[in-house]
Amino acid sequence: MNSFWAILRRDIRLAMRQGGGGGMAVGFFLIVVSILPLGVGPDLNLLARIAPGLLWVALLLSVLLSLDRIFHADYEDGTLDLLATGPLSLTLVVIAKMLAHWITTGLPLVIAAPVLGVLLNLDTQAFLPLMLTMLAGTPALNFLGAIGAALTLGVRRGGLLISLLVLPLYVPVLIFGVGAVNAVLVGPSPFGSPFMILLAITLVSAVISPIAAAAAIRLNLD
Amino acid sequence: MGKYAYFIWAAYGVSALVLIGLTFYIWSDLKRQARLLRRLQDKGTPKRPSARAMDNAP
Amino acid sequence: MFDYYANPARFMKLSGVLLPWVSGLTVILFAVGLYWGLFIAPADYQQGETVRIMFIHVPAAWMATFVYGYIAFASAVSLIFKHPLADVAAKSAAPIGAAFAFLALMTGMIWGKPMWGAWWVWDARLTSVLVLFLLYMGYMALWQMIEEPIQAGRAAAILGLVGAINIPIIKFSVDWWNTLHQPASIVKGGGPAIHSSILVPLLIMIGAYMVLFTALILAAMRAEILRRRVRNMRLAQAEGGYHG
Repeated sequence: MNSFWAILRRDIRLAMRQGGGGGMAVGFFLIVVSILPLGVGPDLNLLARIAPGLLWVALLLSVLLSLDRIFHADYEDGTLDLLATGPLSLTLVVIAKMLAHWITTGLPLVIAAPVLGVLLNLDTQAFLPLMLTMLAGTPALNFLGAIGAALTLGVRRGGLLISLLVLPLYVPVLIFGVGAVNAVLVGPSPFGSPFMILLAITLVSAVISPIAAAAAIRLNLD
Repeated sequence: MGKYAYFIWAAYGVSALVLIGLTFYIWSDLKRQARLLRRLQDKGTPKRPSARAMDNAP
Repeated sequence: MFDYYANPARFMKLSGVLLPWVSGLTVILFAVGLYWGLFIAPADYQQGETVRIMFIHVPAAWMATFVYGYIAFASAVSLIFKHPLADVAAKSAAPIGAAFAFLALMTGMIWGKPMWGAWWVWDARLTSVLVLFLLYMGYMALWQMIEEPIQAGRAAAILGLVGAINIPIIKFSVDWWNTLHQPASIVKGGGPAIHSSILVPLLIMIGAYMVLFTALILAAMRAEILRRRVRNMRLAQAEGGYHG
């Protein structure tokens, strides 16, 4: 278990030092949210109504953009080869790396979300539900995305391919994430039920994804 | 077929177009690969590279 | 038995015998189904003549789902038994399934115009098929981007299984989303009280699409096996040229 924490700490430290990861994703999140009103118009009522959906779609895109960082650097410099033959099972290595990636990119995005909500005139009572759903949903986005990132390791210019593979899998997370926030704002369903389903999706993806991603990494290593 | 005839024929038309196109594509692909294979066989090419790519061979 | 027929050489022999018969059956079923659906079946009392679109829409939507199940099954076989024929089966099925999904979308849109007054209304079933179509696109792109067949096969098998696990969740989420936004969705044919004058041609058309898929997958798998043989021979040729 020690090596699990070692990988986690190392990945977090590397992401902090490079600065790119979380900061870039948050920057992208900010840009997408700021250009959306330029596209749909500055009507505050309209913006308030579609804010949960806009924020969630912008979140999906920001997570998507950061995905190729999970494994790619370690794949190129051969660290993944070492980890795959090391004492820790590759599945646990993958979990550690996904967790580190979530802490360095997912969490900053969740923290930034309410600030961006202000830009879209999001109702104040929706701030807490928005952060809760994103806190519950971003791990699922990371888990599912890691499968795509692992599958495309050997592909040159895999970024576009990751989006094509992963975005359809994001549909349920998006629907229930936005659904839970909207439940607070307009009803009719209570916040609890879509939120519980969102948690269930996160748990399911937490089970599937490390196995699938580890298998995908292994096939790219031989 | 009444006033909706255009819609009905459009639906059947696009279906026919896609399915016949797909059939034709697969059929011509099959013929092409068979032709390529025959040409290579006529030249007496060995069936597979020596050792490395053995496991590729279906 | 499974292992016996999973031998590519034996598959080539068997499929060569089967293909003409399956093709013939496809033509017969389509002739009967189309004639019945277009000329014998009565117009529906609610939907009028447009109900005839159902005879090609429902089979296409049904086949789009079925073919993904077929790919998922082949993916599982490929991962468990590491058999190249399962990879060939999964790869060959993808474009066919994508074509069915595309047709389900197109005919659904053409049906939607007279029914709803709009080409696209984000109906739950159409939206699910749209996501399914996107899954096919990603799956095919992954096959295309990885050049080495064995490696591509294993990557695609993983994606195929992950997609198969996700499809029920996607379907459920889209249904939930749809009831949330438009509670009064028009029920298309396929309810429990479907009349036999429409059910019989519909079943014949579903049968025709199934047999068509069988014929196409046999031919596409033959082509793919030949393609891999050609690839191996070219590698051998290049090697020979290099040494000699």
